[in-house]
Amino acid sequence: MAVREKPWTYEDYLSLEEEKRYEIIDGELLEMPAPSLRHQKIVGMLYRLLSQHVEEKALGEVYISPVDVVLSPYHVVQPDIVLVLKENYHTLKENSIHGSPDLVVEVVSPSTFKRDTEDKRRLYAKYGVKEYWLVFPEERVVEVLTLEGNEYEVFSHAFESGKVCSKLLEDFCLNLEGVFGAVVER
Amino acid sequence: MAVKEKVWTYEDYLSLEEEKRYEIIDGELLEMPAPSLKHQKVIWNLAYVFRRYQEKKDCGDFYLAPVDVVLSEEHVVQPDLVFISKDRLSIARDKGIFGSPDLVVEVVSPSTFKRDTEDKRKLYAKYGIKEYWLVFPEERVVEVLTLEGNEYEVFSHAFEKGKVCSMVLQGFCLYLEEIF
Repeated sequence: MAVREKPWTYEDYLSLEEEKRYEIIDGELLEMPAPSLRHQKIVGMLYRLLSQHVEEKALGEVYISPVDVVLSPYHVVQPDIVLVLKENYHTLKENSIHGSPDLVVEVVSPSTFKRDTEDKRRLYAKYGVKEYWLVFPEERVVEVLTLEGNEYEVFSHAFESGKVCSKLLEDFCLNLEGVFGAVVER
Repeated sequence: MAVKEKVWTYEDYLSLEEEKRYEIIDGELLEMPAPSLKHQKVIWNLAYVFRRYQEKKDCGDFYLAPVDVVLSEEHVVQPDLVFISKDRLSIARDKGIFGSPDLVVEVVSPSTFKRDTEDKRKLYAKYGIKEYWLVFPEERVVEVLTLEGNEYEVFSHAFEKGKVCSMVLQGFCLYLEEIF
């Protein structure tokens, strides 16, 4: 991780030419470790299910990482999956999303556990992301957090073979077996 | 899980004669699934490290589950590990702990993930438990939460080979390799 006193901004971020992926939270430049195969498999599966639903109903656009989400100059993240509803298409720019997506999915990695479950939870709540899905591949747990006032509350959760549902997307539910079942155990 | 309209209390809990383990949160009776071997192994490793610290410091008592912690009539939990500082040992009685321990450790199980990470986090904060350790054996992550005002903040966290430190247990740090 680059260490310096000055807060990192989106402008600085764009000037990075390295091959690595980064995020900026509270002006701090954070490296994104390369995800595991298992992580990628689950992200792919979730993307497929979510985008299928969203396309069928013509609700908006679903993006899979890497996509830069610029919440503010000092908060630039690359969530695993984001959903932008039609009414928020104005946030879609050529190379990034400028503003808050309506739904964010993060598949939690051990190395970014705190960033995903604590820091981004606070960040997404602060920037009014209506729904935040946290997926724990190791535990085979999914939590659907929805914004209640300024904070997230668990709207739906399940493990292993259970089912979770979205509040934002009516009649979108996910059978966990369909998500974790496809993952080949090492 | 037993489904019942009534509000369960500590008194009702004592009358349960079944072999299963239960907790009561917000007056709701919640079954505790038998823990996995992995879960148990981590607990014992943790207990060993805490024990080593205790022998040096003599700062209070550690208790391993199953121990009833009666926070109130309608909140009875069985944390995996609890610590009570020396000057507060009077809350530890024959039948259980009646009041808030100084530190609680929960080794998270997939089946009680939300109970451990959300419900108990809120509950322990409400009852002023100064420090709450969440241990994720699958992810090999440990989070040390400490009470800041009415809420927990992450005081220390690590994964795999890192190290976490306690605020309540002075000078106590844990190398994750010792427990996973």
